[in-house]
Amino acid sequence: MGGMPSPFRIGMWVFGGLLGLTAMEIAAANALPRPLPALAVLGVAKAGLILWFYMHLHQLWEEEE
Amino acid sequence: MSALREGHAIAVPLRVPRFGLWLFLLSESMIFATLLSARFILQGTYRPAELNQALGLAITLILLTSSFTANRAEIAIAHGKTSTFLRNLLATIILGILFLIGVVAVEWPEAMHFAPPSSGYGTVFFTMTGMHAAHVFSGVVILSLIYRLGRRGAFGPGRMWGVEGAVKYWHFVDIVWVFFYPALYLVR
Repeated sequence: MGGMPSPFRIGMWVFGGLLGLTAMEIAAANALPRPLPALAVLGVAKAGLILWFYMHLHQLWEEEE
Repeated sequence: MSALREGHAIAVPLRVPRFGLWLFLLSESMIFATLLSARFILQGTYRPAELNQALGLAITLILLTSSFTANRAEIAIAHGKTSTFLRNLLATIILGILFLIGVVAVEWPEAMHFAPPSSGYGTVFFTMTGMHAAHVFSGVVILSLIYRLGRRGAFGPGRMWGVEGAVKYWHFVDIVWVFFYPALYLVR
């Protein structure tokens, strides 16, 4: 673990975040009478994590290395 | 132009194919956004009680994990770690195949009792999962081609656009499911 490049670690944190948000989706679906708004927000948060950290959306407006 | 005429390779900045890929993904997202909105327009927030929730969650976790391994594969090849790249890419392909088996071989036969045209929900369910599964299948094919090229040493730091493009497509397929899973299995 100690020798892993930091992007590997960021990838793990993002994966953990995605699992946590999925757990929140299931909790919201079971606990709320009308879960659609909460599910929409959680879905956007998950998509945002993937877009930013896994798909590197920020590369679009960064100078090429 | 003269370089083209003389047969010289022209270095295209990476932002050009990247931008093209993002435009392609944006156009693809229109298809899935249409399907998603059709689900709510036609069926509201109705969902049948008999949906296999455990299976829906299992295939969701499989796809999220495949994005994690795809990300690791991309990072590994950027750092010149070819064996880690190949291992994670293979894991991504296997997880993609498992997702397809879960949807097509397990979920669809179970959902046949609300298959179209007898049920409106069945129409949106099979259309959405079918269109998504077709994209997962094409992703598995693309990743398999990348794996084959990777085994031949085609990629490395600074020459990994093929990996980057294929992995971005795979993540896009995952994002689609991020919205389809709650829309099909969780809303009520």
